[in-house]
Amino acid sequence: MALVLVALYGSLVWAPTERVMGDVQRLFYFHMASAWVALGPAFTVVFACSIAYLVKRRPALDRVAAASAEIGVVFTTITLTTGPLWARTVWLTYWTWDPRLTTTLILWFMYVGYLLLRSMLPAGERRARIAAVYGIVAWVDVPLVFMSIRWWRTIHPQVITGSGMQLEGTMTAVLFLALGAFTLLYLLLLWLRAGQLRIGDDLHALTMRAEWLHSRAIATTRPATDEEVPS
Amino acid sequence: MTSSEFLFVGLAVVWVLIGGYLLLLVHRQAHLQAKVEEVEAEISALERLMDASSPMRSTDPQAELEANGQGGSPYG
Repeated sequence: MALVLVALYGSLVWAPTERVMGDVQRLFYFHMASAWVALGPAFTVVFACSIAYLVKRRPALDRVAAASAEIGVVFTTITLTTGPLWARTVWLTYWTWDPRLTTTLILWFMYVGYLLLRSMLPAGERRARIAAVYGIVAWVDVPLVFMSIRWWRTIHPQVITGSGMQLEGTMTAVLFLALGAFTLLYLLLLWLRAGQLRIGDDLHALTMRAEWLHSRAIATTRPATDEEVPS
Repeated sequence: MTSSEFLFVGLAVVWVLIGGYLLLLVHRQAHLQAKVEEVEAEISALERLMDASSPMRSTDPQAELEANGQGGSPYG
């Protein structure tokens, strides 16, 4: 969290003001960092863990995939809200059906669908299997989002081109600071959320044990009925 | 709205979403730990009750649960 605050300080103080767009351009550091976390680590971890789960059937892989998808949705939401606020001053509209924006919105809906699917199915091996298949299919949109500004006509800026970063030196340094801070924040959130899902599974097992003991205790302490007393 | 105001709103959105999610995780953690402690206390009480009512009990509850397909994680 301290590094995220340093990144905030860097974006507001160290980075120079962009001549044409003004202060709103400073949102770029958080917009791109959150897009990187969602498309890079978060949804790719869902994809990798989904494949690994189908091969190895380890519950821990399903838990990491679920945690990563949830965090990915949070960071995609940040991307989809900071983008339009920046666009309003530059493009004079909050939203346009540009290929990059449209594919990102589709991505957000796909992973919200993933979380809804998980919440609707009962916990267990079947849910993990269905979610893993969905997690693999949903990831297909990630390269589409990344390549959309190269394959189709778009007004979305292209920061990384074949000739390198199209940014001034200090801006590049602050961008990398924000990318590093958000990546570490993602790892912290993943560790916390995956740990909670493990505790949830342990709690499920404990609850089953308590229910069994409860039924045994009732059976042991219940007085015998007339039919059970031998004549 | 001016460029600076859009920046302010954007940063507020970023911090509300990250801070809100982090707070939600901390709240969930506390809730889960309290629930685990509550169930563990209930299990101890039930085990004491069963030991008191049948001191010759020889079966292992966890082994019996697993034999009935009710033990372990929800993954089976």
